[in-house]
Amino acid sequence: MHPMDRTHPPRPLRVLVVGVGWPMETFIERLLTGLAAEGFELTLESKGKPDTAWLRQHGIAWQFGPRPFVRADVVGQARRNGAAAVLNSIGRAASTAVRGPTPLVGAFDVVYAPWLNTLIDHPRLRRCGLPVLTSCRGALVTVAPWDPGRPGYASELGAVFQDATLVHCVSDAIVADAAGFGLDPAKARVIRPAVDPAVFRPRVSPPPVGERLRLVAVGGLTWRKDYEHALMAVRRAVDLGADVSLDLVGDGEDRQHLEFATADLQLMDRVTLLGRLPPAEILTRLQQSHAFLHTSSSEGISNAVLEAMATGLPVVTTGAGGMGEAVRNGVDGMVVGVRDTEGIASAIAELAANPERRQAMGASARERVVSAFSLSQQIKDFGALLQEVVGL
Amino acid sequence: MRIALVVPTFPQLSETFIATKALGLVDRGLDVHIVCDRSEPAQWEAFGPDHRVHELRPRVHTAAPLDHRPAGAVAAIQRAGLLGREVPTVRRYLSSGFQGAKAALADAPLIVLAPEVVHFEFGSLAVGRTHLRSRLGAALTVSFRGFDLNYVGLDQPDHYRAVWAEADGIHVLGQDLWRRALARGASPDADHTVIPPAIDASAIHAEPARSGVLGTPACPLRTISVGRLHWKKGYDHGLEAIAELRSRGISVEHRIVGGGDLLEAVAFWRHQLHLDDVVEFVGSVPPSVVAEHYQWADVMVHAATSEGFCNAVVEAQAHGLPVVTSDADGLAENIEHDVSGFVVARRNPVALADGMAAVAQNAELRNRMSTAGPARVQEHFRLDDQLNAWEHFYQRAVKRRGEG
Repeated sequence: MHPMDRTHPPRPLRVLVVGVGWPMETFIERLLTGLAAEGFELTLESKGKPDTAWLRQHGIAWQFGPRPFVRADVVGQARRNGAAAVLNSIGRAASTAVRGPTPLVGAFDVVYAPWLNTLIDHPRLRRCGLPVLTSCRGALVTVAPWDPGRPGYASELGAVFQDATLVHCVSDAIVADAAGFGLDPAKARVIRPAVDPAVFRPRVSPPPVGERLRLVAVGGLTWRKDYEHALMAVRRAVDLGADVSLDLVGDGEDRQHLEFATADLQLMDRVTLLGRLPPAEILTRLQQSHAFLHTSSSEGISNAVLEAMATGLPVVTTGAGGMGEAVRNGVDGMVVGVRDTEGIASAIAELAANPERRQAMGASARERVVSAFSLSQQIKDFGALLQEVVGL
Repeated sequence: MRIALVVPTFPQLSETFIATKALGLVDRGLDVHIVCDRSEPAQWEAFGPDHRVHELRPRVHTAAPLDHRPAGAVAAIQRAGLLGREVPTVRRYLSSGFQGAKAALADAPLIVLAPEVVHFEFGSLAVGRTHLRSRLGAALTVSFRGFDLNYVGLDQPDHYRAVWAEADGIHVLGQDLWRRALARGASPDADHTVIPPAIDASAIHAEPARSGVLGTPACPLRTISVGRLHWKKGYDHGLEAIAELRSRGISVEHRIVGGGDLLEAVAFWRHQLHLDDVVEFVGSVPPSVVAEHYQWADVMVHAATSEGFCNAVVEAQAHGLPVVTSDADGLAENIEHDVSGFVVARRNPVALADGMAAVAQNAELRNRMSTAGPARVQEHFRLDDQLNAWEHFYQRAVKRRGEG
């Protein structure tokens, strides 16, 4: 549905997007620029102004808020947009402090919080008189409520679900998780993540066979990705006779742990921690690999897995969160239990021993993304969801 | 003999062993001081008002790294003032020009203390500071623990080269760590001393093991893990072992004593493994409270994937707890397998569960291990023996320094 549909106000839908940082996550950037291209009038409200050229390129506006400046914001903004922009932002901050926040009703049609903790931190946003949409993506629903270090978070989550007009969920699994904290399933709308299959495309020639199976994993080095079990499974697969290597792309606080585990499991000649790589290089790495390994213990639906599937890689993944909704077990790859070292190792060994099956699964994975996880469809669905929120 | 123990932070509940060592040596008439980057009021309070650590307050000297912030400039001026009376030592520093002057400000508390021994409690702290030996004329001694040898500077083959070359004494907690030190470049001929952790068991009352079969709904097995919430402690494997016990129909109550950055993860694993009703987070508590939890428990499970030696495992044995532990680093030297507990392969929850199940179901085994633990501590991990070894270690280092 186009935002200028006759059944709605005869002007583009005005969306206030709150709580996004800069640089923003790739999947959020894809969604927002896609919506802007579809004609939605987006205004980002954030503590620091995004790159001015980026805003201009996509026709997206920016306003200050909802948090006060901190030193790092000022420095970051000065680097991006120059001193004049910083002075301008400080002026706006001062003005906001004196006059209070600008009323949102009349200026916008809907508030969208891509991260629901924004609505926890700033309750005024969910009681501003406008319809409110937020997204349930992963750890904020699956992990944070169980953390004793965040007392009261679970009840605040319930309040957000109560106040939000509709709630976007990235998987059926996360709907079930959120329902445990008070989300009425009737309010939930599942739109799964998506990637652009024109960007993530298979290599022209088929992946080489008859050599060491090259596995790749992409993601932050955090406990949630549980790469220790990936390393344990590679060790086990090698012990089972498979000739395997693993490239880990990404960085994070678990790096020391994984460096130690790599050495401790005697995998120094098989596992490489590549650190953070630019998107183009990640694509190249995917195209040079035979299969993708994803061992998360907690997940929404992994964008990295969808990108790998689009690139034509079979995926060995745990069934964490909604991963089983993306990867069909035995079709696009293999879905095994969380922390199931033996299961992961067997799947790796199977792929190593069976190049035909690997290629068939890779082709199927690509087809699956094109048919069910394409970016263009996601943006259309999200646009329709914004219209629905406003129409309610 | 004046000894300066260099640590990052003092005191810390998770490093109570440093306070115990310092107090023991002071009791023996040594003039021990502690030089650290930070000393947090909350950490002092965490020990409780009656802990002897408070006797060390006058002996703690903080020297935060100098930086470009205003507070750093003020600290630099203060330290320059301190150095006014240390002309000969400062001259040695200034012979290296501006860099020497910077080093003198950074080392000011040590220059003023003028110790005969500078002891780095962690090898990684000694990197870049071996100049203290020549500039202070002190003996330089260094402890190497799992942290230093397993993670720090792995990408630099010569990371510890100067330390190996300059130190007048190298201390390791166990033979496994010495093997790791050799792998990190220590010379096989280097003078090194193994001094394992130790505790004062005289104040510990080991509870007799509970009788009968444990692990029934009426009488759940009480298990405990003690240690910082950190990846190296392997809490995911430990919780999986608890879940494995439950899947075998063994009722269990588990306590985790310790705090740390990994709480979010450990809490998530507890939930994911359906253990919310059986696993309790006690948090970081003073040693006297930890002792109460040892007394409550039937068995300790320690699933570390990397561990220097582990004081908590020694304490558990002293309390008469059978310990089911992984074989990470020095743990196989800490526990005598099948005597004071079980040592199983690391990252193997099923094996950990097997050990705990055996303790639950076999009262005779439980009794035997419960008696063997305190005896083992008495034989191998006595505080008096450890303090004797430290005295000897420092005396030898000073002698060695004197010889050139």
